[in-house]
Amino acid sequence: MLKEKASQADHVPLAARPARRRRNMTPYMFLLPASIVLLLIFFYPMLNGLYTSFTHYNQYTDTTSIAGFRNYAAVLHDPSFWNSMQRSVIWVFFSVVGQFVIGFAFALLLNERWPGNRLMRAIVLIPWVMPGVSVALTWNLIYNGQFGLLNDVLFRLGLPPTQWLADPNMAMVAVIIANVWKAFPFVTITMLAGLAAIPEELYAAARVDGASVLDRFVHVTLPQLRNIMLVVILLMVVWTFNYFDLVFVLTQGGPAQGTEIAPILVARYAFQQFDYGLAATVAIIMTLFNVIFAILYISVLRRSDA
Amino acid sequence: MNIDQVLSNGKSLTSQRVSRREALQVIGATAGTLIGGSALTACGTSSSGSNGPITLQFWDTFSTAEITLLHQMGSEYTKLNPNVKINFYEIPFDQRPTKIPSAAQTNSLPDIARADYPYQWYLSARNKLAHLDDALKGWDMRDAIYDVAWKEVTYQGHIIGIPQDKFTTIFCYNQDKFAKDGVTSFPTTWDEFTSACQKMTHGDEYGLGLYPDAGQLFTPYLLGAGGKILDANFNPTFNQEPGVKALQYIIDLVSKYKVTPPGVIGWQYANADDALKSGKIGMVQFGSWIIDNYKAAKVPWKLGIGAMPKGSSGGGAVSSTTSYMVMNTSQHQKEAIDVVKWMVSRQNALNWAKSLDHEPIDKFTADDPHFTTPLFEPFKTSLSFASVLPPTPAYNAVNQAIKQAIQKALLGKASPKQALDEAAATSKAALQS
Repeated sequence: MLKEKASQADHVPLAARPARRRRNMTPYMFLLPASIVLLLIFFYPMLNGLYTSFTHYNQYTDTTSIAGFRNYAAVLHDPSFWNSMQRSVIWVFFSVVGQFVIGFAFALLLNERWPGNRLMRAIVLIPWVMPGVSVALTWNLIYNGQFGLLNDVLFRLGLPPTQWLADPNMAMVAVIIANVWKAFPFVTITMLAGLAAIPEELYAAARVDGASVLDRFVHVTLPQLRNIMLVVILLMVVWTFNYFDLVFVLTQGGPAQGTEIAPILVARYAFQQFDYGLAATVAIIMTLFNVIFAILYISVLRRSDA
Repeated sequence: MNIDQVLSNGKSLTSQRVSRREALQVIGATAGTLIGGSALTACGTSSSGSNGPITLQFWDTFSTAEITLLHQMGSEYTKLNPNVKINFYEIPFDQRPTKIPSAAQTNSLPDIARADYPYQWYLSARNKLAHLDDALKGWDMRDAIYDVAWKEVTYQGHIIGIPQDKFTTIFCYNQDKFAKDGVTSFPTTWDEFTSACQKMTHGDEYGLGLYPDAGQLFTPYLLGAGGKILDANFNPTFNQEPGVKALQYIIDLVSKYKVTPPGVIGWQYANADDALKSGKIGMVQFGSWIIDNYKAAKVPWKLGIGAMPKGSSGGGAVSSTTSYMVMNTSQHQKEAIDVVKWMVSRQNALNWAKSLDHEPIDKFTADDPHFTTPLFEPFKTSLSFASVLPPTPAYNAVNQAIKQAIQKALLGKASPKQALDEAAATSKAALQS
């Protein structure tokens, strides 16, 4: 069949060939403007970042030279980098777990019919639509050791006050709580959309089979939401790994580098040290981590499907 | 190609033919859009007609009161010089580290920028600033502005800016709390300082508020102990004996004498500011900007200003200058220089300092009766020992390294010497790049 088509193509009269070629070009012409824009706004910065990671910028002479892999070697030998990676893993893991569990719980709650449900759906979105800087300033007030809301609550409960942002580990807990609060509504609205798409017949059939609430959740809801959960978790991990402003405004990476996650280190290299090569190197390593994570995550899930 | 025809004849869009001319039109339109978009991004540059009025782009930062006054001055200048219009563009304080380097990298700097440390060194190192030596010859303010301020705008022997505002590290203190706790005068030595802080610490009140910062907190003590941040060759020296002594003194205030509220290790500027305003803290190291801020905030206690207490080697304070800088990329350098000279003229310098209650930057202003009151006396006292921060664009990295050292030492994760040695190694790497 294919051979037949190929031989037919060979016998197209010469005069008709330019017309066919033009016809074949048509879809590409439509794609061209968008492709050029995409190349410029997506690939150019990415390739420029990659190039910058192999250069050294001398801030005293305003000159750039090729550094080979020296930036990568310097970063990998810098204890700050490994500290930032360790802090990033803690930050991402607990943030995403917290966001997912709370977001999913809210989605299940809002999927039920009860008075005030619609109003609550709107209210729950507020943290998500707030700018990260505003969220950070709000939580800064909440965590204030002297006048903060949280310590006031602890005091009224007869508990000792806590210096939330003064200890490296406690500061990490504090920024994770703020981040969970900010981002759980994304999980809620996405999962709500998924829940709404599950056919009611599946639940009806399960009920007929005598399935309990927990059985219906485990054997109907979770499998039906599997693909959405995959996308949500992947997005949350990548976003959280790259998230900057909340932590920067709340702690600036301190105290004693306790919350210096990878994006804060990039900012420190780029805008305090003005070493764009080192900054780009960490950014490239972050990108690689994200890509590797995404590939592993998807392949593990596919394997479990099989 | 007619869309109506396409839809009415029932064929899909992709099956339509595109002629070479149409294809070229698509490519041309795309390229035109992109080129047009690029041209629009060049909005940082000044504009003018061939003979008409020129418009200078002026970037500034800082407080609302300062910005309001700056804009008033701009309007007044345009009234006096109708051919020169000034477009002010405010850069939020926290956005300077990204905005200025981005503009420098993309050649979209304005005609004039008002900024402080370390951006004059950052822009000088990139050869972006106009040299003002000739333009300032014979100018009466050249000798009147304090030498310490000129040091901050002199790069490789050339003047690269006009000092416009000056902030020396001093203590802002609550006079009512001092009186209530029996501290009759502002302490002049470290020992007196410790004693005053202890007197004011009781219940939920504390003698001192602070936030870990190299320039604002550590450096004045380092200078008072006889140390320096960097030597003449830009090698870190803050980890030597005076630095260790200064950091140990700060640790003692926090951990041994416990004269600061719990949690100051994680404090930022706003925390210290809020704590002082609340009336529960005796004093905090700030600058003269606080005077007008606290007047506006109507704090319910009387503000006092005290010079840094002397250490074993005398007084130590950091003088930080804000300056007007003219870019050498400006098409209207002469007009821009005229604007900034006018803005720091004798009358306008006085007006600026007086309206905002900022410390004087020049001798003429200092002689005004407004500045001969006890509130401004510590600024005059500090002039004899105030130093400037090292002239390097990489200082923010040094500052960050010292800040981390202070936090580590305060947390007990390292001794003062170990923490400062670690910071010195980090700083050395940053200074070399």
